Amino acid sequence: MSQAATTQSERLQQIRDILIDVLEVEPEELTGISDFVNDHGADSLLAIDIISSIERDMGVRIPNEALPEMTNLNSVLDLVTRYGKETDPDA
Amino acid sequence: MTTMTAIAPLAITGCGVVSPAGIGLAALAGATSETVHGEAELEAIGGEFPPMPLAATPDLRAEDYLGKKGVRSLDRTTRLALVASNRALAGLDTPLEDGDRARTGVVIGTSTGSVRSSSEYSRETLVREKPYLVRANLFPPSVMNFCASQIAIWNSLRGVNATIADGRVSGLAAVRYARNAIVQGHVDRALVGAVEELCPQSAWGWYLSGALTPSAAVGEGAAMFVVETPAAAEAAGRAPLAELLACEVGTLGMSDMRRGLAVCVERALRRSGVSREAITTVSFSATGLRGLGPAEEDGIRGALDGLPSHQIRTAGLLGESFSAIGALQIAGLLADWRDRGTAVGSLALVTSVGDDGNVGCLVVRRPGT
Amino acid sequence: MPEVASRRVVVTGLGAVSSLGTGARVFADAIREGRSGVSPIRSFDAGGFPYTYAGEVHDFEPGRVLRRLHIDEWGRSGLFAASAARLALTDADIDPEQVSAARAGSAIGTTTGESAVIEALTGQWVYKGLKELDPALVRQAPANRIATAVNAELGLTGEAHTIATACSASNYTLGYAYDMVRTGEADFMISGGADSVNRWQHAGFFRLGALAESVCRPFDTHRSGILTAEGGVALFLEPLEGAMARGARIYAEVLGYGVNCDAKHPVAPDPTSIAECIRAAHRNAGVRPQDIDYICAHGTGTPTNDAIEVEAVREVFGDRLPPISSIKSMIGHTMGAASGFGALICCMALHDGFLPPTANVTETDPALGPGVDCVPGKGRPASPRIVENHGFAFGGNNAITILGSAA
Repeated sequence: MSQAATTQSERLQQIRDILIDVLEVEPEELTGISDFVNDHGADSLLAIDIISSIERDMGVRIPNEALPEMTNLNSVLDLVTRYGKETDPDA
Repeated sequence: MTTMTAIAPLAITGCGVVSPAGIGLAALAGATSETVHGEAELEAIGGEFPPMPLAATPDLRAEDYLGKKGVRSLDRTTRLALVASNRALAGLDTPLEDGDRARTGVVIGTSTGSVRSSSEYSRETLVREKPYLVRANLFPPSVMNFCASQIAIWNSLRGVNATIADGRVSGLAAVRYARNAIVQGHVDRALVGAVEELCPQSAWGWYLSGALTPSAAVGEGAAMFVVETPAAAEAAGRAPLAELLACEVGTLGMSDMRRGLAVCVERALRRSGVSREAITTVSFSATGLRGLGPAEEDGIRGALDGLPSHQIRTAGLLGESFSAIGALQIAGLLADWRDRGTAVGSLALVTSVGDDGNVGCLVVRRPGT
Repeated sequence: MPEVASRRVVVTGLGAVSSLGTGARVFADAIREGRSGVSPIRSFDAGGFPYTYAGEVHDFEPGRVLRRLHIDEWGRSGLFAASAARLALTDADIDPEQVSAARAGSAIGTTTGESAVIEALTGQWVYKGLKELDPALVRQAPANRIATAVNAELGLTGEAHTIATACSASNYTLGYAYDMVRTGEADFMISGGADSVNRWQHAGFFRLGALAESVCRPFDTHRSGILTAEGGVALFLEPLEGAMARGARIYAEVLGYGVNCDAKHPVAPDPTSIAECIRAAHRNAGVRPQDIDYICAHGTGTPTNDAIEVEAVREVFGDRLPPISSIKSMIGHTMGAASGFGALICCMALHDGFLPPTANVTETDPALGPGVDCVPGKGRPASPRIVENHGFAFGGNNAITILGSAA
């Protein structure tokens, strides 16, 4: 699987692309700590879409239980790193 | 059998319309077969269309009305209806206050919601690696009440929120439903209308069904009206654009469309307290949908003992827009009245015939007459 | 406004096509026993889904019920609706000719219309292309055919509304039908709902994290979500006076209803708005909170819905909560038909004298607060006189009906 070779910066860019798409924000608006709800007007549906887009585009499965943790770009990167290790690429 | 009492009129005090003729009543009033077309819009709509005439709403820039945020995930059905709703509310003589919005409902006619949204969502479950790798945000639009609920959300309208899927008579059925909700006191007023979007899925359906004549276009559009009691309109300082008298719908045409429509028209006249001789204008629902045009004319002829001299054919001009037709017909009547002197008379019928045996008739009166 | 004529309106016929069987009596007896209609999904290939259970109607044979419709011309939801309506008319024990000659119509609720037809067409699109759509199937797709199926089957010439207010739609139809009969617009009305299990809804609810694996347990500490389900339900409404004159069996009287919209969020419910809807229903029906003997809950079994619903009920009822149960624990979430099945079981509860249960409850969630009696397990003998039936939907579409004992 390509995930193994993905560097941290490539992974960050992939997540940024997903977030810009799902949250409908301009690239410059999205920082590591800009808040999905307060700064970008996200709701629970968009949060779920972030999870499903990550599973679809990056092959990393983040459980719905992790939704409350997912508040900004940095936290998503942490979750992808954490669950990326657990996700069996053949599953 | 019940003895039907005469009904009290309701006032239309706001109107917003988007159609293949363009945005607004003026565009509709000036529409001709040369100005109604859709090719330029097809790229924005997207998808592979069948080889047949198509009529699409040009320059539907929902962002201009709604702002940029949150528009992208809205399907075309919802965009059409939101823009029409926005214009209907913005054009009121006096705006709705917050307290008014709590007592304002939404009643919208639709065919199957956005068939594009639901079938594309269904498609995702077949083409994705896993069937559940669908977008959560696109799930609500696959449900038929999405459009009505979005109109409520964008405009803070907290009253009754009804989606009426009655096929070609949807527009008139929505008026009838709204009348009950207002007269029975469930809401003080309602944003009422109907919508239909042009999409490849339904266009192919029409094309393959063979139900349309070869020159007939598949169309789309939305028209929304603010409807309230004349007393409420007057108290709020809103001048009526039209008065809605009786609105009757039913499956009277299942066995005989002509006879069924005639009965429906007679009933609507009786309940409006209007004689058949007083009707000077009719707005037809017929398009290139085979078989309905002659039946509609015969039905009206049967009830009125002849066709009124002034005939409005908005529906035929805009193409077969199924569930939006009735509302577009009402808008077509308002557009016509706006541009004409009172010589055409003040009482009109908006009739409706459906391929499912449904028929409808709404009696409309020009205000101040 | 002129004074509007007002008649009392009663329910004299019930029809059900459900995962628990065909016919209102069969359905109600199964509910009362707390039986489950949930089973592994058969209507589509559920392979690839982690969760594969739904409340499907496996033994549906429309040919055994319908008298007029040509079955191969209609979609599954329309056949559910028409069958339930035929059963309700038969149950009302009234001359069908009398009904079709009168001003009689139907209002049928749905969430996704002819979704099974749309999914079949989607399959043709994906595997063969849009050019290969089957025209016969295309003709079955529009949602208006659900209510017109009812009018066609019963020979009715009045209005035929398919009301697509999603999961509160049947309560919308009951409210509208009640108003039509009450004001004399109609002599008889069929109210009800119909929906079919489909793959896209299963996927959508799974994606939202709102789907249970195989057991729906509303109000339970360990509730985990809904089960998608299907069926058709119908109620036959007529004026009290006429029903008494013909010596009809009266299940219940429709007392009133309330409808409103949160106007806030596409899927997240709002307790304040729901409480306002309950109050509106009480006002419309002329009842007070202390008059309500039982609430047939929306009770989907998601952690959020049940908590919000109880919060809203508490806001209106204070500390004295009526017993509140969810039949979705047994049949799953039948979507547009859900509040219709709720209305049907309310009629049976009033007529037979019992409270419908919530199945699968091992511990009522203490987080819901004190005094929540969800009638766990099996139905309970009781004599409810006035009951309240909840229906909520995506988009914040709330609809609540109030029914009373005929006696």
